[in-house]
Amino acid sequence: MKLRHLHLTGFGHFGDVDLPADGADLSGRLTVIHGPNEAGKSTLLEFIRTMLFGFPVRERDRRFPPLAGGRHGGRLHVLDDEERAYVIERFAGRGSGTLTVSAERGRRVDPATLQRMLGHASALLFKNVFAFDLDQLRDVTALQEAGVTDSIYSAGVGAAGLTQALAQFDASCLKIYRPNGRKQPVAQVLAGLASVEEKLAASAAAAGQYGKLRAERETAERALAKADAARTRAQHESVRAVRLHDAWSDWVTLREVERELERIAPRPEFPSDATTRLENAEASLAEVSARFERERTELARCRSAAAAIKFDAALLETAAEIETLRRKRDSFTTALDELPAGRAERQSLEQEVAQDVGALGRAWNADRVERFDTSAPVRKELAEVGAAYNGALQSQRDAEIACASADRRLRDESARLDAVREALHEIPDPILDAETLGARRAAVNRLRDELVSLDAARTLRDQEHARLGELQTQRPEAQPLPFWQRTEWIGAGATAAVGTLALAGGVLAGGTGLIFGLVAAGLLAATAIFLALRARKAPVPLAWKQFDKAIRAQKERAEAAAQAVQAIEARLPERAAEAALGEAASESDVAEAKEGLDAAQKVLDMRLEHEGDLRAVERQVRLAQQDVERARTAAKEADASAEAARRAWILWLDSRELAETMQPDEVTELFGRLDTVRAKLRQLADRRRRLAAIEHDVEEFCGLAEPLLEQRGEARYQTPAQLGPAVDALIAAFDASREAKEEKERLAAQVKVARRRLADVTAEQKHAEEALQHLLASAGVDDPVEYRRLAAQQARRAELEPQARECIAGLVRRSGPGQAFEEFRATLEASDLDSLQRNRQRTADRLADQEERRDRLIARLGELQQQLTTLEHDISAAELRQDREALQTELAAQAREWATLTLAKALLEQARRRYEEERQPEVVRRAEEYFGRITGGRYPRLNAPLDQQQIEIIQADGDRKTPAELSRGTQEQLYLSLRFGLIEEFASHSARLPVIVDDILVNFDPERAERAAGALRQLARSNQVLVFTCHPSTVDLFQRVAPEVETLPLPDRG
Amino acid sequence: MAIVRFVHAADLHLDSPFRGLREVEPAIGAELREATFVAYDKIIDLCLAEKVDALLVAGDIYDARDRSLRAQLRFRDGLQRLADAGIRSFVCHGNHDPLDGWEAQIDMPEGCQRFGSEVEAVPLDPNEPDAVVVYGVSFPQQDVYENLARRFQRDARHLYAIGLLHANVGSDSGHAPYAPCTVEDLERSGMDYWALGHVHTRRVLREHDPVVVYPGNPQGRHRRESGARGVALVDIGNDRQAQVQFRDVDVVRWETIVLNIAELSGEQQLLEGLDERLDGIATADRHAVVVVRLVGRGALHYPLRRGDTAEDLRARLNDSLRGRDPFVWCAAVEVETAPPFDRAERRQAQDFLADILRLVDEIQAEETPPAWLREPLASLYEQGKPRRYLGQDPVSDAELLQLVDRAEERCVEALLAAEDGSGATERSAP
Repeated sequence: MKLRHLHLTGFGHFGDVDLPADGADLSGRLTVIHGPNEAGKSTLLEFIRTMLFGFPVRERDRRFPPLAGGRHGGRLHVLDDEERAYVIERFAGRGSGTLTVSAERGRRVDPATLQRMLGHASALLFKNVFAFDLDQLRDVTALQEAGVTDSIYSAGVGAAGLTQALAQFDASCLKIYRPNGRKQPVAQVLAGLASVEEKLAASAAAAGQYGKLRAERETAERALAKADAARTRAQHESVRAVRLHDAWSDWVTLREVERELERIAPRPEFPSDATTRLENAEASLAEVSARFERERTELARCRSAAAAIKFDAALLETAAEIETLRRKRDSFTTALDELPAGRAERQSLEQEVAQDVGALGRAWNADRVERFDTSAPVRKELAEVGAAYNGALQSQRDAEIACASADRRLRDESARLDAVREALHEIPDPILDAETLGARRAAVNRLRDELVSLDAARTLRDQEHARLGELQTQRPEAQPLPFWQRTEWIGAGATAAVGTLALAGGVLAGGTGLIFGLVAAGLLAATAIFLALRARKAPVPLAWKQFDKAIRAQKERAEAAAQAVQAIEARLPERAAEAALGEAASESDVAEAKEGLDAAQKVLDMRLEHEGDLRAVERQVRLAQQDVERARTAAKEADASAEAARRAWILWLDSRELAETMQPDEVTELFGRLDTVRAKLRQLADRRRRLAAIEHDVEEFCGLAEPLLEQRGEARYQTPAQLGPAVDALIAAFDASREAKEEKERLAAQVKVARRRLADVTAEQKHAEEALQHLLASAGVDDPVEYRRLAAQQARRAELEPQARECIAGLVRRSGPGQAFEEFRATLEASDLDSLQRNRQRTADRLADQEERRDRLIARLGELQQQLTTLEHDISAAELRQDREALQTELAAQAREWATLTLAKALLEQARRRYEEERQPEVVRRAEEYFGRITGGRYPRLNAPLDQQQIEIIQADGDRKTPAELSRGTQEQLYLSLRFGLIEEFASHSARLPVIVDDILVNFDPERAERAAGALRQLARSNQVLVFTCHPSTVDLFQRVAPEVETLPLPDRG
Repeated sequence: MAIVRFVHAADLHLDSPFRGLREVEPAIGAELREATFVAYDKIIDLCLAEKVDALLVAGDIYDARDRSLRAQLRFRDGLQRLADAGIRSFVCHGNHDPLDGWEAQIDMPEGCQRFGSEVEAVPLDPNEPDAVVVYGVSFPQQDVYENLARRFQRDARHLYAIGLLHANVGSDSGHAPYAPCTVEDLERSGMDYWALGHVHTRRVLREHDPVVVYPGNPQGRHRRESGARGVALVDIGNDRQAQVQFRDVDVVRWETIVLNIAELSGEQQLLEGLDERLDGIATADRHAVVVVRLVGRGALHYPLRRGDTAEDLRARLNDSLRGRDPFVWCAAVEVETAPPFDRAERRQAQDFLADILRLVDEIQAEETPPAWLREPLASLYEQGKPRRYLGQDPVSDAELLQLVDRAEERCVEALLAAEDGSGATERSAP
């Protein structure tokens, strides 16, 4: 965008002012606009901002009211980036003011065109970056306000988390590993590894002892073998000494026994139990003699008892019959008891059956009852045929009922139909059909609306005319002076006349006179034109102009209101015709027509309702007729089914030889009664069988008992009841005879036994006497007393001999048999107890010494073996190695994590370095170029560190500074350069907006000011640049640096 | 009919610990410590069951610097079982158990041939000195850079020659370059079968003339030694052709589960996915140690990165796996996920984040990472104690570039968090 011309209608102290004042364009790209202090630079700056971006919305923020009169606002003539001309006009009003944007020949365009021309820049961006003064240049926050920090400080490059990530990675690294740290996992794992290594070294050292320990074990084993031999020898000696000592008492006893034995001569014929044998022989003889007496007495007793017993032998021969009678005796009594009751019960049952069979009818007898089949299949058949028969009869009855019901409904619906038809006849025919009626109602409503509108339009027209009249009467009478009465016009006319004279004089003089005349005439003509223009622009008195304008506007409004009335009046006849009314229809006509239409609508609605009812009842009648037909058809079908079922039932009755008149329920009952009679018939047959069996038993018992009784000579009995006790007596007599016979046989057997035992005892007695005699004879004596004396002597010898043997056995047990015993005995004979005790002590001491030495060797060997076994089976080293591997795995994992984090940090730092070196934001890159140029190369580079809201200034020597470390002027140069960068960057992708700076070079030294002017000149190649200044030196500076610069004095105050 | 049948084993590394486990339950720890021994016992069982003629062990039986007496005794005990059954054993030593390394004075059983620092030829059956002969040599010290294969020269009288050697054939970059040689060197020696050790992954470098075999180590001890591990059971037929069968003897198997979070809708689905994969592993007939790697870009990245989520997840998985037999133990949950954003598109932007992405791309494209990346790491990695445990060359170029990728993710997270205004996300502990 480029500003061509400014017209300030009323803004601050400018009223109706143009810039440039002569109506020309700001044709150059670089223009210095100069004027003294308070000439209005700030006002112009704000005017341009306001025209482009609008008035402040709040009244109190509007700092430049139209102090010199005129409407608050003005116009800008601009060219867009495609060199198309537009006029932007904005006056104060609601919001940001009334904006008008016009294109060529005053054609208005969409106000949004302005936004497009501005590249959608915000007011703040324009104020802080494109149109600023010295204060704004120095204000650090100005750029933040402009929302451009992202463009400058690398925001939006995705490095927002860089600093945090670096800090986090660093912290995580230090958590894992810190040089010389002790608590971190790496340090702890290393400590663990050192400990494990130490233990492993100890374990390895122990394993190195294995060979030495084995050699030592072999030496110890050999020494132990020798010690074992020595101990065995000492053990033998000690044992012999102990045994000699222990044998001393046996040895002394042996010597005494042997001496006594020498005094008793041995008698081999005397057994060791000689006395006992004698006593036994004498006792045996006495006992046998006593038994002989007892047996003889017993034999005599048995013989006399047997002779006293008698019995009936004939009766005993009938034992089989007696036993049969005994077995059947109880059942005989029971049969006699049951017979009368059984016979009475049979008779009663016979009568009952006869009655039941008779009750079944004449066609029935017991035989038919038994034969008649009432089994389950027949019963099932009866149920099926009977149910079919009953079901068909029920369906027949239901069909008849349905038929009657349908007839009744048809009669009811026919009566309703007649009633509805009668009601419909009584309703009159409608005047209009529904469609016509609806259209007519709409037309009447429209006509009514038009009449209301006409009334309102006429009122407005009258009000506007009245207002016009008022304005015309209030208009002041003041009139502008005729042009000839105004000094400007007089001056202009006079000057023109003098010019004409000068020209005429020149023509007449010719030669140089002509030239002089032409120059003078030109100068005078120019003066005349100037004065005329000025006169034309002289202001007209304000009130007079305002009234004229208001009257013109009111006239327009009055005419518009009159035209509206005419338009409605023109439409009315057509609306009236649509509503079927006359052209002059009034509002009352309309109301009357509306009532007529409402009545017609009511009649139409009622008729439609009754017609609907009629159709519904007709449909019901048709449905009832259909129901009647269906019911009659169903009744006929039910009749046919019932007849078929009845025939099937009669056929079934015939097949069972039953009466055709029987119903299914009756047959079912008959079946039940037949079952009852049949059960009684079976009960009667059973009763008869049981009674016959009892009578048979009685007869059989009597037949068996009577011959036996007769054989015993007893009279014949009249009744079976009398027979019972006789039989009981017979059985008792039989039992007594049998017992007597058995007792007699037992006593006979006892006599035989007693006789045999007496013979045996007699033989025993003889044998005992012979044994006693033989014992005495074997000892060579015939007297038991002598026998006893010799036996006592031999008994003593028998006591001594075992003692001697026992002593010798004790000695042999200690010495061993054979030669060893002889030597042992000889040693004892040659020793005494004291010498034996001394020898025992000496050998025991020697053995203890040997034992102790051997134990020591065994203990050492055990130790060695244990050490070797421990080494051979030691798994602690394996565990330690496993632990070491686990720790190394842990260390590797920790190191890997640490390395990952460290490399992540390195990647971020490397990427940041590269970014800062190679990919500074475009704005910074452009600013860097300007700043380097303005500072004469002192600061060749700018750097916007990633993830930081600041700019670093890099000196030629590489040192870095922050903006705060720069001088005031240099800071301003930095911020100016950043703005230039932003302006170029904005232009590259959006719009080239005009740049307006207000005395920003005041703090620059002359060199840098000149370079800054050069930079502005460079910027002007892409963007229009307006430089406001109050310093003539600045004008000079620009004229020196940029010869093409245009200078423009600020316009006079209005 | 076979001339000879033998088991070829190598790199037993008895009693050496499992690596990469930060913590483990005591009972499982005990199983892991026993694992190399149990695998060795299974080798002995295999020899007895298959009635082989010999067991060949090609070095690195144990780690001499560990001075594990238990390892040597258990090794001796196994060979004793073979000797009792009339099976011979041939052993050479490698860089981990060189001849000058620490060794307890333990007598090896009869029938066990330990090779010295010079190549020897020992008949497999002393009664048939010219039939099957085993040539072998041991490392005199750890650092052997000589091409030992060139010392092997076959005696023409021998019917079948087996070379037993611990060596790096073909300069395998995954293993230390000890006793380096080429397949051609092996071919020139005239051996029929090369029983090699040193490379821990089973492979047949050549199938005939000669047969060159690495059986791999019998028990994987860290995540890079995943999959089946075992020995080679070799039958040499009358036609002198070798039939090589690999037999698994490992007790604990390392497994890696890789789960892409891009396909997961939430944490519940993540857990279900992990459970499903772990169930698949748990059905195997061996113990398993599992490393879970979560990869891919997705919204789950943020919760996974938060606090101790990875460690909590690992604990939760181990809780759910507790009590299984065979056991399954989750050694680590590695969160290698990335935030859900289109890196390629974001890289086109003109903001600072895009600068970071382009910078990382430049680093990745360079032949060697720039010095400014390595310098800040020196304060930890070049320090005495850490350097001792992190290795002499702790961060290789490849690892450094991996770390750069992780570092990029951290930068992206921090910058995106700042953009969202939610503040930087707290990092997970390692």
